[in-house]
Amino acid sequence: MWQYIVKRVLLAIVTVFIVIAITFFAMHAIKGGPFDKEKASDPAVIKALLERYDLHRPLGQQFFSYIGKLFQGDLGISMRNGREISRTISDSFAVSAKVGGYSVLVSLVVGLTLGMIAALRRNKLIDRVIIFFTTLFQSVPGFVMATLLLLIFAQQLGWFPVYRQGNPSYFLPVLSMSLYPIAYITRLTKSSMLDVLADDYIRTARSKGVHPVAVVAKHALRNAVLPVVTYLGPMIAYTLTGSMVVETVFTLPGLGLEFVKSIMNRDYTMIMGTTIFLAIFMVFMTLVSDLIYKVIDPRIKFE
Amino acid sequence: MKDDHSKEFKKHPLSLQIDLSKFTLASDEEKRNLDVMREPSSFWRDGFRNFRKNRMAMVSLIALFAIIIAIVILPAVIPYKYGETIRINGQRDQTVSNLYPMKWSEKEQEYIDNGGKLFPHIMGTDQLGRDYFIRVVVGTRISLIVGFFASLIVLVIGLLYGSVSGFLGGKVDLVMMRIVDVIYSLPDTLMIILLSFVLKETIGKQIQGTIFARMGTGMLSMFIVFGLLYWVSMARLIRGQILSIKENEFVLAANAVGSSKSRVIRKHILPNCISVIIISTALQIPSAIFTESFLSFLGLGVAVPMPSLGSLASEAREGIQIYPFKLIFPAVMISLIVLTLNLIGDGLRDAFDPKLRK
Repeated sequence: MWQYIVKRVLLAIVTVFIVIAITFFAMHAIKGGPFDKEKASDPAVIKALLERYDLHRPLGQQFFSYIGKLFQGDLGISMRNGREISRTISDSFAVSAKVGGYSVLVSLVVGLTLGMIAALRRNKLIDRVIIFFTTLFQSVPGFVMATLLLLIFAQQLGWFPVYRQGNPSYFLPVLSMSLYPIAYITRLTKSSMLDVLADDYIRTARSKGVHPVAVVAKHALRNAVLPVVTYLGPMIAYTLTGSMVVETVFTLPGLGLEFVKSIMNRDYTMIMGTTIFLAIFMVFMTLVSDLIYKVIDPRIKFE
Repeated sequence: MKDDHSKEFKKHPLSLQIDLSKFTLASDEEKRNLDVMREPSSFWRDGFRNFRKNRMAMVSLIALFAIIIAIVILPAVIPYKYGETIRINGQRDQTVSNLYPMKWSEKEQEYIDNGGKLFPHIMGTDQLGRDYFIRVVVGTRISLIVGFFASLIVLVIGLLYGSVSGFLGGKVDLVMMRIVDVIYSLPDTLMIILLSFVLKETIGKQIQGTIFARMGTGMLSMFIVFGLLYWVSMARLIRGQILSIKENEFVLAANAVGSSKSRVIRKHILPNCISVIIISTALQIPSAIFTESFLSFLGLGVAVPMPSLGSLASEAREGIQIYPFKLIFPAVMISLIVLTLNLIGDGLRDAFDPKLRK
């Protein structure tokens, strides 16, 4: 077990390092740099700018000094507004974490419930309705879904305004971010629940006269949930993508919006900083979800 | 003689030896009953029969074919071009932009009143006065091409890498799979955004004048990114398949009778993993179309004026309250394509996946 954990942590560290290297060198491969189109062609100004963004030294030196600063939590400053990137990230990440956290929670609760219902009422009307909607939600791109929800529920019907007493309302963003994972989890739960319900120990439990609710809750659900745990990693990745889409559509001041803005503005340092931060976050979360999976399922062998 | 026989039989009460005297020859009618009535079936025939029985998958297949035929034929039939502003008698028309579906601009109306004939704007026009229907048609074409070629790239690289790794095994396999592990653990969404951004900024000048220039930097960088990152799950899948098939007794038997290596690969290993390969390739197409539309949303998709369904939907977000149809049309097309491809993929899996066959 410890061997497995050490191996996974090492892989995670290697991955983070590779991500940093790819991000750094890819961004520096853009020829001419960000100041080509600036009006100030005065050599002194250019030189000052290059020094400010640490671009005057050889690439190798820049890389190591960037990594050195990274360990101190310093991601440099934005090329557009001159703010410290680490500060922008820490300010905006709170919003993203809130939306993402709610979304993960909602997706898990709703998805597991719907999946269970669909499995227990197999081929009944409710099963067909659930499967129809989950298939539909899986075929609509996230930004289209978010835009449509915004248009229908916030602007046309006015049921869920985007702003409530000056504060952004989280209902629609969380909803539009959760629909895809809900659909996925529902289908996953349904199929694994059907597998489990056909198993011998369920028949044994039933024949012993265990209450039907207890059969599902204690025997079936616990085993049916396992595949859903494997989806935690991809779901976090999806949440990240989702936060970019949802925060842009609903103009929530989160990290996703900052990232999209930095791409639109060609803010090189900001793209680099955000990519590296998000990558480290994602690698870490995937590591945690993999380890959780191994811990909760005792049948899995450690390689 | 008969006595002897029964005596012998009694000697071994637990023996399984058959008392032949109790049996008679089968009559002709009985023989006929044993004739195989069903045609001999093969893996493929079985699979296709199962697939045809799947109504959802068949409907999806027909719908997809209809879409493909439409996007091949329609651009030749419709007298508008996806990148050109509509002109009346060679003159620019100021009022032709942002028309609602099936409406005419003032000049067009005038032209029709004077006896001229025009093709209707089935889906209206866009902000720059281009016919929206042809843009959606061409966008569908581009999106499908992107999805198809991206999956093809993933398939080719994944197949080569995975089969080499699976066949050779040993240290080569170990090293190759470590590389896959690392690429697999890279956060792909972030990397695809980053690489698309960088490629879009850098390759523009280098491809000028080549055939790639027509494709545009956006599409090219998408293909490059798919070739760099997305093949790993395919490679893993194929390696796993080959490793497990290699252990089978029929491969051992083929080797024992002296089949050449290429014959073993062609006749025994590939046919056994081809269904899994087809299924995952079919399911890769919708995910590539989704990725393209997400990149278009970020402004990293196909280059203007070329439309893709993703870029059309993304552009339509401006002025959504006044012209919601501009989002609806491409969005419905994306959903339709992704839905049909997913259902076809699921149908193929149900019909062909050896693990699910009973």
